[in-house]
Amino acid sequence: MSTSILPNQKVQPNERGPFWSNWRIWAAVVALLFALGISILFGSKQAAQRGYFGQRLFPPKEAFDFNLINQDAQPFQLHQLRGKVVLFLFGFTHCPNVCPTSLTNLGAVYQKLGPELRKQVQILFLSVDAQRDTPTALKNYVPWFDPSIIGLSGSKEAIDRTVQEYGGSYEIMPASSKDPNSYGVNHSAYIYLINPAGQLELLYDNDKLVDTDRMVGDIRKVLTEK
Amino acid sequence: MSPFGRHESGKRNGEFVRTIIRETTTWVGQNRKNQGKALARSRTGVLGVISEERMLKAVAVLGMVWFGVSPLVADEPNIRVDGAWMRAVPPSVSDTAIYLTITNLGKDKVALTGGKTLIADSVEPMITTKSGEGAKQELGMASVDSLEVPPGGKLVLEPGGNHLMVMGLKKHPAEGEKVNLTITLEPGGHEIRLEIPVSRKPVS
Repeated sequence: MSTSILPNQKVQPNERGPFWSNWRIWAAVVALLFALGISILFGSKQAAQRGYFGQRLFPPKEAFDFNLINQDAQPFQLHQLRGKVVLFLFGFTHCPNVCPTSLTNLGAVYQKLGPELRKQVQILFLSVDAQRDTPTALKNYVPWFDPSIIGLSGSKEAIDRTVQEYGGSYEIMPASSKDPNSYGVNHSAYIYLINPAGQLELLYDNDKLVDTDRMVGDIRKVLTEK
Repeated sequence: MSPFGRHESGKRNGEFVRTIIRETTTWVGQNRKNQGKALARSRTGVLGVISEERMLKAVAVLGMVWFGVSPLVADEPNIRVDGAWMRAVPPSVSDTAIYLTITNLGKDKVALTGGKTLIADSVEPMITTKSGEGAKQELGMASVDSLEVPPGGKLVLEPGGNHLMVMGLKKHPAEGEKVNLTITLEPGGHEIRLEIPVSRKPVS
């Protein structure tokens, strides 16, 4: 409505100057670059993700070869499982909610795999409660969820080192009641998928496990793409 | 859905229960009054028959109340409980969890303050806590005084999330068994009795 812009209409095309002085050109160039950047960023992320349900660690890195004790009180190292897909999680047997949920879901995933794939998969549960969770305590607990699952424990040092190497953490919470043995344990509850080459490949939030079909899909994919 | 895992409470149920109570007290009163006569006469006497009828009625109704319809006694608060179950755990474990959904059908907020069951020392509301970031994020739990059910809203207790923690199991019911659970709601310290299944995974 302002009359002050009217003089612009009188400007002749040849008075506009060279094309690069037109801001519209620059706006278009910036927009193009922006779109290109976004697509490269997300494109590569998607390429690395490769359609997996779990969060893919790219490039996959060597999984820490822990030295722990299994539920039969025998030494247990990760490299013993080379050639298998390993699903590895932390917890403790006095855990009433999160751990049983994860173990139940993982047991269901294992059963859904079918007999052939099952031979190539191992679920490991490492207790971060070195004080209470002896091999016997683990043997009474872990196989109850699925007979195939192996419970692991070890010295506090060995457990701490393993948790640290996998980027997890845990914390003993003071007992709320008078019984000093009734303490709780806060712990990271991710599930690590280690591929048959012994590399950490996928990471799952514990609440993803309930989607057993997609978990099975990931395991199948890892085994066929190895 | 198990008939025990679900109940609705409301005014009608309240009236229903008041009727039961009236019937029962009437019978008790009559029976007391007529006790001497009834016994002195024969058991098939007119008054005897009436009181026996009433007695049967009352016993039948009380029986219904006893076996699972008991949650109907809830007049207030106006809530519904769905899909309640207790997690089956290995015998070596002394604690477990109960999961359920409470729908608040009323206009006032209601809070679940806990519960009790004969098979354990205590039943307490717990929340799942998250601390830290990324891969180092820790899950834990914390005891709370109550879990609120907003008016027209729901309180969902589910695996991995908030739950009723069952502490000090005295026995370990197997999967498929049922256990009695009484949950307590505020305001009013209202108790609701439920019979819930024991299961390894959510019951639908």
